[in-house]
Amino acid sequence: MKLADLQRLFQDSVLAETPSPLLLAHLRPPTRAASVAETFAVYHDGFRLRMAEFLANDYPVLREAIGDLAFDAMAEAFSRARPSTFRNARWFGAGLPDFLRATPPYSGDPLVCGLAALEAGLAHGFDAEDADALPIEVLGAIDAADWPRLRFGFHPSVTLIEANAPALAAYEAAQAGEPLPEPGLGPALSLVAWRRDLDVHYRALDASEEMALLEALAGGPFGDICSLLAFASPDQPAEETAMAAGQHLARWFADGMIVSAEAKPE
Amino acid sequence: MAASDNQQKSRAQGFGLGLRTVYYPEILEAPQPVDWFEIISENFMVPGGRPLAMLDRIRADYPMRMHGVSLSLASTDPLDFDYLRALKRLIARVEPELVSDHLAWTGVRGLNLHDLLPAPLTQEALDHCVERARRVQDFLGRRIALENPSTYVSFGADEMSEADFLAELARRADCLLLLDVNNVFVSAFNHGFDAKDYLDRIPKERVAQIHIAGHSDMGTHKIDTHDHPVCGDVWELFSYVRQSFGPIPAMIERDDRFPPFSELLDELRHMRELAEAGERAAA
Repeated sequence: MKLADLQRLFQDSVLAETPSPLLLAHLRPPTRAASVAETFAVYHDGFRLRMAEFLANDYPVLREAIGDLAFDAMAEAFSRARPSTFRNARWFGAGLPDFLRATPPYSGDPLVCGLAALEAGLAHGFDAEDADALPIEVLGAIDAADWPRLRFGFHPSVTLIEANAPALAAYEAAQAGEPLPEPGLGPALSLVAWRRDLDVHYRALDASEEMALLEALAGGPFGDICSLLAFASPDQPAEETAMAAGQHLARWFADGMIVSAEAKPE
Repeated sequence: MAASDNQQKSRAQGFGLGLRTVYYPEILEAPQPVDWFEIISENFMVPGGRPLAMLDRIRADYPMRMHGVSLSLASTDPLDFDYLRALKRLIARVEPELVSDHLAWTGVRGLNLHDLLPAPLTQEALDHCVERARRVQDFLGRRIALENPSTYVSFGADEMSEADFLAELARRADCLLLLDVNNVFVSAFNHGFDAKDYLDRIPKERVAQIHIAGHSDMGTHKIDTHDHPVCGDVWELFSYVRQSFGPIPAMIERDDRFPPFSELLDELRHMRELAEAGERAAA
């Protein structure tokens, strides 16, 4: 058998529930083990254990929340549906939130989906590209006429996370070393995660800041951010809308999320 | 490439440890009696943040060596030049004394099983690995060292021993070898060959580094788990290697069930003592 064919057969046998008899027939009988299936299991079973371990490292609170057995079953389903194509196992687990949102029964479990989104977002913040935060003082040099065209560049670690209150409560309990609360229903929550210096931070967003941040992250200028906020709160006086936009912006600067600010044309 | 100053340099004395995040506090707190650290290359092939910041801090105080697990040398998939470019960038950042990976493959058809899968020991596989090792070295602009893996199955099609395969691979590709003494011990047990005979077939002048680790004993077979202290049989083989191969940089790999750092330092001290005893005996 050619090398390429043998490798395909070997890989298929690792991924399958049971190894191919054809592959086993190409292996030499082991020295001490009862059968070649027993020693091939080091690769076959090891694959499942390793995938579950990668995911457990990336999603420790999710594992704690649903228990080892359910977590391992989820890991098996994920690694079977989306086997790794990555040289670095770090990126294998990054696709878990998408998989859970799209796959019953996980898709119907807000705690599972929320925790996965939260832990994946924080992991992204951990090792995203480095960039220097811009001090808010740079805004002092911006001409007033340029403010509507002002666009912001964000630190590569900035991530919006769609989670929910029970997922956040579970995560924070785990971080505090406390028992996880009983799973329950709770409102959806938008969070932002980012890295400052080497530490990852997160906080919840209200509807106004979420809308403003989404627009700013998409490259929208400050004028469009103000217009969006005004559209969302038509009864609010224009000065208050502008003040709200300014407060959001000041907080992003204070948090170290912004790395560039330039008045650019459309 | 001919045998060069680099090869001589990579054989310089020294005893190292695998750099693992659980030991960062001790490593950053005070100078440690460790001559160099070996990193898992892929763990630092990330865009930024704490992993690279810690790497730079520790690199400022210690020489480093880079050890990869995803080169997939023996795979029949095309070489992954995105991976090799990232590896080359990391090499430029770390300036390691040695870059190594394994005689193994990790997947085909674009998948990665994140395991070091065994290559059949055939002429076809040898030709394939030689050609790829040459291309990898040409791309990286430096020699790499290839490690003997622990294996749990062997193929009916095998045409040579693993030691002969590695010796021929190193000769034809003009690459270096990383001799994992624990892997020799594990594979010798699993396949019923003589570990010292295996070691005697390895070209000494090509060996640029030695790995030592613990393993799990499953009764009918042993598994290279790196989660136990080094056992007496492996220490004995290490002494044999030091006596017959001479001074080669050596290190202990620990990847799970991490003991206190002081215990790992005790193992490293034991390694130094055995090596020095071996050299006295050889003299």
